[in-house]
Amino acid sequence: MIARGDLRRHFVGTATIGACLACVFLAAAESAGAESAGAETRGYVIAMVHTATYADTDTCPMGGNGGPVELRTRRVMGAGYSEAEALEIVANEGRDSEGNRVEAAQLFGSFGSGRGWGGLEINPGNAPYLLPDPHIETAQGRFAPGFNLDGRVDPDDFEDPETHEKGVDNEIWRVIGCFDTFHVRKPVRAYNENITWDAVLDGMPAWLISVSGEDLSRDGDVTVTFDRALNVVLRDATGGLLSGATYTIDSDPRSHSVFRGRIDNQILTIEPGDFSMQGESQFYAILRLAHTHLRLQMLPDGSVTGLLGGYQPWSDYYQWLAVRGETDGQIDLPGVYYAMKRLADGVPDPATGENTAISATYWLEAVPAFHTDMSGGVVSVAVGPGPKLSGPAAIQIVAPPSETEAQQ
Amino acid sequence: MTTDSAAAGRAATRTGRSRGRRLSVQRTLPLALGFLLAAPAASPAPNPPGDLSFVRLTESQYRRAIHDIFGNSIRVDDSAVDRGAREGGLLAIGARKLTLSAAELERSEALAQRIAEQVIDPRRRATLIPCTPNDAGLPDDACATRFVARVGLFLFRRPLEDVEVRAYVAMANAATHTLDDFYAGLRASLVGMLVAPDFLLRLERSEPDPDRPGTMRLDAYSRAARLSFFLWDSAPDGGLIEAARSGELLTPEGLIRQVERLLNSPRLENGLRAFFSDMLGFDEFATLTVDSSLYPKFTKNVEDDAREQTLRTIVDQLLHKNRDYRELLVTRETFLTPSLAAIYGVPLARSQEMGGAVPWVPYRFADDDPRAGLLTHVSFLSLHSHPGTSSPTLRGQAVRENLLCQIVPPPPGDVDFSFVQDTNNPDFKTVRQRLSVHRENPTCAGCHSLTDPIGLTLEVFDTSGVYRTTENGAPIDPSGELNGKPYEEITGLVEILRQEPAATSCLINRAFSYGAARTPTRDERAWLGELASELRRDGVKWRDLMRRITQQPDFYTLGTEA
Amino acid sequence: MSESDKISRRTVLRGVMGGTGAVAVGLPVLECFLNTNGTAYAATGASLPPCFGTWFWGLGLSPGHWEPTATGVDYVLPDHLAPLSSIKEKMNLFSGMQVFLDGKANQNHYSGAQGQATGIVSKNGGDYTTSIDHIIGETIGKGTRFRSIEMACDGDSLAGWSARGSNGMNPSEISPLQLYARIFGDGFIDPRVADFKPDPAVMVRRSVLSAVSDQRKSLMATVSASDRARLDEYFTSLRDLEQKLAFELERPADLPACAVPVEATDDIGPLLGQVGQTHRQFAQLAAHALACGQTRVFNLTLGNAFSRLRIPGDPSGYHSLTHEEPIDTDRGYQPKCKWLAEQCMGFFAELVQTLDSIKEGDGTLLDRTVVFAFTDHGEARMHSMKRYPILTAGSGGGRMKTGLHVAAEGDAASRVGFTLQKAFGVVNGAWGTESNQVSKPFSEVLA
Repeated sequence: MIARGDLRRHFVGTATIGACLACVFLAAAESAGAESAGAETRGYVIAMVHTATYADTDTCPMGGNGGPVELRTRRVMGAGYSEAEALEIVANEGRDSEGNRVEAAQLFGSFGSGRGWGGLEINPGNAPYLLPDPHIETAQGRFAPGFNLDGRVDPDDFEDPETHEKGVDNEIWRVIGCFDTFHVRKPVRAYNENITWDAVLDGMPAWLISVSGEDLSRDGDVTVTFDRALNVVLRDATGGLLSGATYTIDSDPRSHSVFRGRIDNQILTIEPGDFSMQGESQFYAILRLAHTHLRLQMLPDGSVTGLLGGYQPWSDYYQWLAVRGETDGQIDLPGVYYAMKRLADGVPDPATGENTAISATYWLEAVPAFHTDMSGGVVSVAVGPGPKLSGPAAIQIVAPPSETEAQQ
Repeated sequence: MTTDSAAAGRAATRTGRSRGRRLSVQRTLPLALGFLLAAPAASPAPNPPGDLSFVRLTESQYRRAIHDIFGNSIRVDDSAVDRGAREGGLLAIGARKLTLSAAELERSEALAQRIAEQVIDPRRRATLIPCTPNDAGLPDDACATRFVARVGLFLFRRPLEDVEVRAYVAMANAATHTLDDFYAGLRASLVGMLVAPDFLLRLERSEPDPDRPGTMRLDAYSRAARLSFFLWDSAPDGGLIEAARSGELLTPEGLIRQVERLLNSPRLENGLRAFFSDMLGFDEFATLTVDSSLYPKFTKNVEDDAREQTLRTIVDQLLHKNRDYRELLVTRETFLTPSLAAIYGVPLARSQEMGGAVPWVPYRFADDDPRAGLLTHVSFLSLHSHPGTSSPTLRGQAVRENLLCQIVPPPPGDVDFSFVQDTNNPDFKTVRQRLSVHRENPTCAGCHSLTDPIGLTLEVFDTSGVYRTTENGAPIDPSGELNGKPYEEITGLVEILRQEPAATSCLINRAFSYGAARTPTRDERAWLGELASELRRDGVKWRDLMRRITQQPDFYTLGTEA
Repeated sequence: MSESDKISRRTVLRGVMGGTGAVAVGLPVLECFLNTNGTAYAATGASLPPCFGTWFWGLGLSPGHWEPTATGVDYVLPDHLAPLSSIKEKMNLFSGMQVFLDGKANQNHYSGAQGQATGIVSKNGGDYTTSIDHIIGETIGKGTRFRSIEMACDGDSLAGWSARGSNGMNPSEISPLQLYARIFGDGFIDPRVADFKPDPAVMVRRSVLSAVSDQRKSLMATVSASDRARLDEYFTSLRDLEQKLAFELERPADLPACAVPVEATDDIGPLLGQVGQTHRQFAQLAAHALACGQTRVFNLTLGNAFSRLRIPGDPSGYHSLTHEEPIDTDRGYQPKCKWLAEQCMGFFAELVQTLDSIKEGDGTLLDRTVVFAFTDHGEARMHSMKRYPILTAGSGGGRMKTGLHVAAEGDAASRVGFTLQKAFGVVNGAWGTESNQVSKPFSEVLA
């Protein structure tokens, strides 16, 4: 059992981890130099961010951790009910035969109910360490999207299903991949992130990317900058993001990340560095990555799509899952907590040696946008008409991956 | 409201040499009524048909009248009249051909109930009802009379006859008896006034013209209304009604004084907007559809903003900057919102955030931008397209008919386009290629040579107004010729259009027709032609045009050919 | 049946309708309310009144593919009209007819409809005058709450063809929600309400209208000749409104099939799905309005004649397709256009079935109604004024036979409208002008 004092480091550990990242970040910023004054700067607004998933028949040989019904049933059984009783309660909207809301009591720790976990009236999301490790199944298999972050090809590394790069570090995939809600692959997106991104988008300042270089239609060196905007996104008539809209860059350095990069054959990559972007609760309050990698395809319609990866403080990821809660998030929070702790593979805490970050990969799509600075001057230009369907509008409901659809 | 209603009523019977003959009409009215009241079962008075004509109020005029008279806090949550029909290029002319259908009157009465309910609301009584009854459960003749006379003066755009006042007070009293509530009585009589033809219809009365014997002219109150609806798109205010009552409006100096007063008011903008909305066919926005899956940038915001962008630009150019009308065809100056900017492909910094009003940002397109003038506005481009594809013929036709007042005949009955619409045919990639048969077939060429060259140049803008240089992979050729003058691309076209004499004469003819709600007579057309030449030379300025038209005596006639 | 045996309406209905308002219950006609034949009110012996409706759809059908070969009752419905198979026995089909231009310019998507709705084709498309629904309404439709109800399913209030006099088309309702409120909202009196008392507020409104009308009639004396008819129309509209309020002051007639429909919802626009949804709701509202005696005449327009009907994502709308879709050489028709025409026929069948679903005694509301369905062109591609598909549905209380195909090669299409007027007892020897004037009805469809 971990003492409370230690918890702060894990869950509110911005001081330690932040300081760690900050020093790395500052160094990266200095090495990247000022934003390049190249001959053209193209602007983008991020239309979609979600955890990169790749599920196939090999991913969860033990059958997976299930979906909402299974998770809720196990949760209710944790209060001492038999499986049969628990199934009935779940089917009855979480109420027992007398109408008591026993599931909610289990989930949120209703006071005075006498039900709790080990007698404790707690929300498992807030204090997962007080519960035993349920030993969730973690994702296996050959493939997972991502990057080789540590430069090594280890036995527990993956292979990227598109580039076939070996040595891919994506331990967060192991943690979440056997929950039904994440057990998907493109073009399907994990339900949870789909919903929350679409919900926060209209209230959260937009996330921007700009790329500067001599001639972005040709191979060459570039500078890639991420910023937050002062404005929220503008949507188009399909519910996606409006291409060609204008955003004012927020000069706050906490969301400003600069990288040296390259375009080769219309693929954009960067030299590793630190990434930090403030978001919105319900989604990522903050998205931070150390040793960030990027691989974006620059499409003819002017949009970009690809992967963003790096070492993310696993408490950040845990926090966003916990904010959603077990019912909406369709996940076992203590299970995920213990798995993350165990599988974290980066940025060791200098004091304890424990890894504070976990390798993670995100799909990223962005559409053309103009950027202005605070005085209204145009600093990035939107190039291209943009895609017909973007962001939340590009949801495609397809059948789950069939057995025969193994990777090419 | 400066006129006391009783005094106004008495004033109507005051004599004056210039008004001598006017009174004959004014006097016969109460006599006719008296006749009818005396013998209610008799057939209608055997007078020969008089010179009363009428024009329907538009939705905006109705709304503005209610707000002007009762204040902006009154919610007018419906339209009493439908869009109406276009004739001679204008809804205003159509408004003199239409009546009020049963469904419209039903809707109008229901709306009148809701308006009247708000007027008698206790919170407004202090300002809107000029007196208090002795007993709120009983009729009060004196107070009801004051209300009816005062409100009626502005609703009917003239003082009420005594017999009219008595009639509406009687309605109020009857209702008060039935409902035991004085204010319910006022509500009933107010509804009566709001559905009466004197309010819902712009009644235009003529009288013999003493300066031109043998001809008729509008009486003073009808003139006041015509001036006010033309310049302000609203019912006449107290100043105009007083000028009518005193006879000042019938004198040249008095007319000039009133016209200058109207031209100097910020309310001139309302009249300008209403006129151009009609001339440019903006009523079609009611049924505009642009396919959102084919044109995702065309959001509902764009649809609303597009109309406002054009009207705001017109107001800015013609009123605030006092520019020549022809500038509208070429100017790069306009106003944009963030949604519009995305369609136009230009950056536009936003300063407002969630919940804030959308800012209109003055914007000038760069000199090398193809956006120049009204033809390149999203309003024009999207209104004259199909929902899923652009149409050179529709756009060309709109330029000819709306901006040049040239009629394009309808197509013949038996046209077959099918063989040219196969976009998989390599010869028919662009619509220019597909419409080539229009130019080659003599039956088609006559009319299509009027429309297609213009529209084919505008093909660089798709249905939603977004600029493009290719169609189905093939480059779009924006060159063409207008009335024999060739041009390379859009800026060439609009410059030629600007210099077209028809553009100016069209505006001037339309303005006259709009204000008079009829097509000009032959003589008037001649005069308008001279006016067009003069203004072309001196500058086609809106205020000057208003001055000239409103000082033309023929403007105050019903235009029946002698 | 003794007094005690008689089931009181109140007893029956309390269990069925919990309170006022929108309940989608089509109450069965209870035999005790009707006479032995089930066709008349027991109370008064008066038969249920006949009703008339028009139904317009734009762009016709695929020519050559809808005309049956046989005539009379034993004809086979071609595949193109398969959507109508469920209503074949209750409808009549007319083929081969045309609208004559008599040398005037063909106002595309207008003259043909004008000819069928008014019997007249005018020179430049102007002067559209009194339409058939008004003519028949004068005979059968007086004394109801609404003189007639006009509805358009594509969001265009000017899409309809109903007019009275020469002073403009009657605008159509485009919002089912608003029409619902207009018919079944304030002012609707449930025929089965126990204690009916005239609403004094309505009395006041009516007397105000009456007073205004009297007071301003004097204007007729001073109006110019060219505006006289227009002003008279205004007063007629005022009278209609008075009539509506008068209706609301009387205890409504016993109409056992009357039921308030489910409250409507709006999704207005020209997309096929929107038009279908709007049409479905308007059909319901029209049927219930008839069953509840609110009106006897309706005009339901699928969309304006140019037909803004479209499928989302298709760059070409229906109208563009009729001119631009190539004719499939193997099949001999324009495939997308044929499909869209069949969707329109499906909507017509839905209207007819909606009317047929309201039971009244041994029959249905459809049995005492006639719906007249017409279109703008015999062949939309060529704007042809020949070979019009024309349909009627319902028998108008036995006034018309149904189940027939009438092939009237070369006849004026106005002959159908004239036949309908005869069926309803309109007294006129002829109808229409110039070559569209007709004086002989189709006796084979008259009872």
